[in-house]
Amino acid sequence: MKFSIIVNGAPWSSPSALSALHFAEAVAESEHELYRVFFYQDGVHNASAFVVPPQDETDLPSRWQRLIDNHHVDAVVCAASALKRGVIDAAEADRYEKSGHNLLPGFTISGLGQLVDAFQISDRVINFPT
Amino acid sequence: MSNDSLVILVRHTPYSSHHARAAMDLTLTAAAFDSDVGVVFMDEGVFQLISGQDTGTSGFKNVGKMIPALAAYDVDKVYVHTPSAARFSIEDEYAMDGLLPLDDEALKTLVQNARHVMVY
Amino acid sequence: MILHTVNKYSDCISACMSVADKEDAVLLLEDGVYAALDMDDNRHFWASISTVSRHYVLEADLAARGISDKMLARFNVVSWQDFVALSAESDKVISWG
Repeated sequence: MKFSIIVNGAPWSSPSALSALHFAEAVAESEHELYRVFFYQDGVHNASAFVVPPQDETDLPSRWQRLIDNHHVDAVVCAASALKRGVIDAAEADRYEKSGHNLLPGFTISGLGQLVDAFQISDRVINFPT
Repeated sequence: MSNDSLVILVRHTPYSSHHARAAMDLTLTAAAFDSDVGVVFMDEGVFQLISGQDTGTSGFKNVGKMIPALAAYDVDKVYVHTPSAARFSIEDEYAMDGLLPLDDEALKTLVQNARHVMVY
Repeated sequence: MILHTVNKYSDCISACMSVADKEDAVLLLEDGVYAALDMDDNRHFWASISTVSRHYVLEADLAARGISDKMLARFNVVSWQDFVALSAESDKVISWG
């Protein structure tokens, strides 16, 4: 069965990003396929290389990266949500003449069409609201 | 609705959070990708349907003006949960024509039969 | 069977129950687990609900809140792996929050 997951919460702003991570890890280790993880609204901050986690808290961006690397997960960051929140890749930094870029390797920036595709292709779509 | 259907339940007021915009963006994108999408305004979400929203001073993007755009983008399944509209006394103030009424039983049937349901 | 998930202790539980069917299941996580606490308000609420026949609560979030041994008997404690299995067993998952 194909699962997709929607992550709406920023690291540490609400429990939802961590819930999404635990669920994603459980899917990846199960017999089922993790088709896509879609980072939407404040969830785009999970893909930021500029996040410095407190020493005694879960490093969410790194944990997502590990999941992406270990299980070849398609981790998509919503472009519109990301731009508004200052999560940008090199191409956008160039286009918008910003002083830096911060998209973590392993994540790709794309449009909301990728979420619609996830709904069209996946058997189950699990949303983690803030 | 078809076996490929996506039903979006809109439960929040128009300017409290990102929910109103997110629901609208997903609905329009789903329609653009030929998904069988329906959107239901229910609970406090019915406040999004009120006509005459004036965001000039506040600076918000006007949610009320986006509602009629649904028809322009081929979203023809736009529902209002009638018990919610009655509860908040807004039945005569809709921003668009052609809203399809849903009572409790019809809403339940729509939700049960959809392939996916998103709640905003 | 629809799996409804609820992550808040708020009126979204009522909204969820109003569109649920008798065969449906509810899974409480994050602050939603407080709705499984054995106390008068919750007892009355769940007794008044005629929809939903399967009740689950996420173990990790109960433990985090120190209420693992204070739940209503109707709730079954589940792991993240169980949550995945329930999702697969269901026809779809609806997240209320």
